[in-house]
Amino acid sequence: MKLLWALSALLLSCWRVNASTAGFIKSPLSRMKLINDSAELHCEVIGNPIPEVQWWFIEGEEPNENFTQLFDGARDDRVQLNATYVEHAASTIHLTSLTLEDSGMYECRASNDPDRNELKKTPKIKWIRSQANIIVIETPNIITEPSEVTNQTSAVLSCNLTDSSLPIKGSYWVLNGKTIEKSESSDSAPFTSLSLDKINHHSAGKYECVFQTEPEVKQMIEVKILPHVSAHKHSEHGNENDVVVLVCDSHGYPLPTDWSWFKEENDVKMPISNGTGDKYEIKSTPNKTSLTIIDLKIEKDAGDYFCSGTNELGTKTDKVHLRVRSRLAALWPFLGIVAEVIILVAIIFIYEKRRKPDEITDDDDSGSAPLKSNSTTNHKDKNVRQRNSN
Amino acid sequence: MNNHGPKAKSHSGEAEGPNGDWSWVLVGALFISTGLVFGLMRIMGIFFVEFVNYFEESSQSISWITSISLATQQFFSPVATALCNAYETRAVVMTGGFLSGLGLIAASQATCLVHLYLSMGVITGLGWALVFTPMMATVVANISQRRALALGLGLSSIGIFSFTLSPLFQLLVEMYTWRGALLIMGGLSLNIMVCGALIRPQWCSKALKKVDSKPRSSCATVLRRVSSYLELPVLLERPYLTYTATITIFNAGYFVPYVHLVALSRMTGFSEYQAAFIMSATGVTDILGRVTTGWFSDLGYFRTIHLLSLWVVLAGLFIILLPVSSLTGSYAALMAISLLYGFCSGALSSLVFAVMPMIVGVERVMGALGLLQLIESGAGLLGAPLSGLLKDMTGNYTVSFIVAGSFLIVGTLIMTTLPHYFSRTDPPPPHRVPHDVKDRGVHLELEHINNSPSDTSPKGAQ
Repeated sequence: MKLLWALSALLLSCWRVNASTAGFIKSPLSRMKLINDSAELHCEVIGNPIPEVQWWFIEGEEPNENFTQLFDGARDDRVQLNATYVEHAASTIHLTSLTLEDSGMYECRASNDPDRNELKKTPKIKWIRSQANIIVIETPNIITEPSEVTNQTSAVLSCNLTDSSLPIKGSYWVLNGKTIEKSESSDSAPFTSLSLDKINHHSAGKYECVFQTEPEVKQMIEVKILPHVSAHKHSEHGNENDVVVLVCDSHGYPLPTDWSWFKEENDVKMPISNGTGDKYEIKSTPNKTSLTIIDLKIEKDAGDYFCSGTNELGTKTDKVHLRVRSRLAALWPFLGIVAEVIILVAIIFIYEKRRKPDEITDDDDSGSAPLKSNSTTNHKDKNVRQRNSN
Repeated sequence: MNNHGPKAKSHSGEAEGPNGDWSWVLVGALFISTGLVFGLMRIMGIFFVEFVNYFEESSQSISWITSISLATQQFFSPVATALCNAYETRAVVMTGGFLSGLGLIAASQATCLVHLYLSMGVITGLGWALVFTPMMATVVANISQRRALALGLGLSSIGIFSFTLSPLFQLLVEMYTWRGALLIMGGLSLNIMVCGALIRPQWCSKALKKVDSKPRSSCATVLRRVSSYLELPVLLERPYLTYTATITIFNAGYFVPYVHLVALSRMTGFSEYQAAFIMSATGVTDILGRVTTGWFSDLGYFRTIHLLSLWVVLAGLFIILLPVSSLTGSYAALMAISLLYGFCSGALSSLVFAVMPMIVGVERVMGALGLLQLIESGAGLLGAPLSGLLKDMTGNYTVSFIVAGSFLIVGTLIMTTLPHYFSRTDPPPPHRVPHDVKDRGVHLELEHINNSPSDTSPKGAQ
């Protein structure tokens, strides 16, 4: 009997050894974020059986702590939970549109104890926990000078980072999402500036000064100019009764919101509207506009066309000159060449006919008497000559 | 028998040496017609951008037009030379000129891509076949005093025409649209008829054989006549086969730099303009090479075939050096090697035709050149895609250029197996054994035509 008890105790302990308790292989990391930013915490736990992972939010200080469990869709759908339980447990929590109230301690809890959700027992004993801090801070104020550049030929942009205690590692500038080379500095001063010597359609756009803090803070300065309108080709050719497409582009910032086309007639610019008698079709996007003209006529459609692009600062125009080629224009040079060929061939044949009789009398023929004959039987006569000379 | 000498001269008309005014007219005709054939073929590329836009097809399907016209020209060369043997060369070349013009005129009215394939590809290619090989063979057969120089001058027109017509046609396309420009191009092609008209009827040496045309046309006789027009028996001779094999292998490697040089320069890192400039400069040395080697070969210090081997080996060497010089990254080195390559390739291309009469004899040159064009076209078609394939496999052009250069060198080695290759003077060229007593007189005359320039004059060791 005692042997049976010892054996069963041994077996039980062996069975328990196969089951391993839960342990963290990846713990969540603390973060500092700006308001309206988003944050992500990641947690991975190993164990046998696969442990369950929960996320809890802790407010307040010990011993008056307030624990709230977080579910997918909590806080007005700003919390998203993503968990997988394959071989080990991995869970990620996403927080979007952070507010100051989201600051606090976030706890990743895991347990594979079968009794873990028993309400009669204290949870702390059965759950392992790992904590991370999320601190949400107000966006520090960056004073930009000037706040916006409109219609200037050159400018100096500057940013001043005030009321922030964050350590600054350096700063750089970005234009339309691309970092500007040579604008990077490792100066830890809260002040940076960028000078633009020539503001044209290449250098206009959305500039951002970025301070390399944790997290990064930046501010935008818009540099606006009149739209730069240019035609693809300033001189276009179209064929009679055919179709031609005139195209104008725009570069710079901000891109035109309105495009319009005009045709010059008697020094007056007549507007062309889309679908005027099925002849004109205008297709416009902010950076390109095209005017399609069908059924070209030489007198009516040749001339100057103007494309105008308008943005909030003003309007710019470019000119396209349209030439309509007649279908039969190339016929005249062609007929000229054909005439030249016919004349030359005729001259050669006539010259040959005239020379042939003279040629035979001039032949140096010491072997036999020269025979006068016309060119068509020439070679036959030559053969006759050979045989005679043998 | 000694009075056959001067008579032999009078037979081929005023084509030879001292009375050679009309022979220069013939060279002029070759110049213009070759320029209007290959020069126009080279500038077809100007129209391709227009075609791609108008027909909305890929540039690969448009580039088939040039391939079709070139393949048609080479494929129908034996047919053209056979027609010359059967009828008058003048009629054949004038028909060819008319057809090539007709093809381009029809192309100007094209409404779909297939029209272009048929008109600009097949009809024009057929016209060009009827023009190029017959003109070449006529010049080779009838000019023996300064043959290589005549050929060099005649072929230099390809480079000159493509160089000068290229901007002209850009302008024409601008002014008259591509339809108008094609129409004018067709008109220009009709000028080949003028060149054809300049060929005197008695120059076609096979016309002499019309004497024995029998009224009976049994199957055997017709077949025999056709095979004699096509010069098929020449395929059974070892010297001709060796030479053809050599030229075919040359063709496999010869075109590669023309196709890939621009891409090689761009890969080395040079701009579009620098690459295009290398091509233009190579074109200029190509023209120089053709004319210079023609003049030098005619001086007679070396046999033409030895000079040909020299230029081929050098060209092969420079092709192999091209990727090597591009590895150094120096623009000057690449330009220098390209210029040297251009010179050698121009030089060898005119001598290829000049050597032919010494292998098959003057009276068979027409048919022999036709068959040669057909056989070498296969290698030409394979050469460029093969080098492209090698480049795709290895990632750069080094291997494909080395393979192309080695083709040329291997070809030269094969050429050394030609009979009498290593003798200092030209052997007497072969002539056909007469199968008719009537022909014996003719045969002796022709032997004198073949032998007199190379044997009797001191400059004879060509």
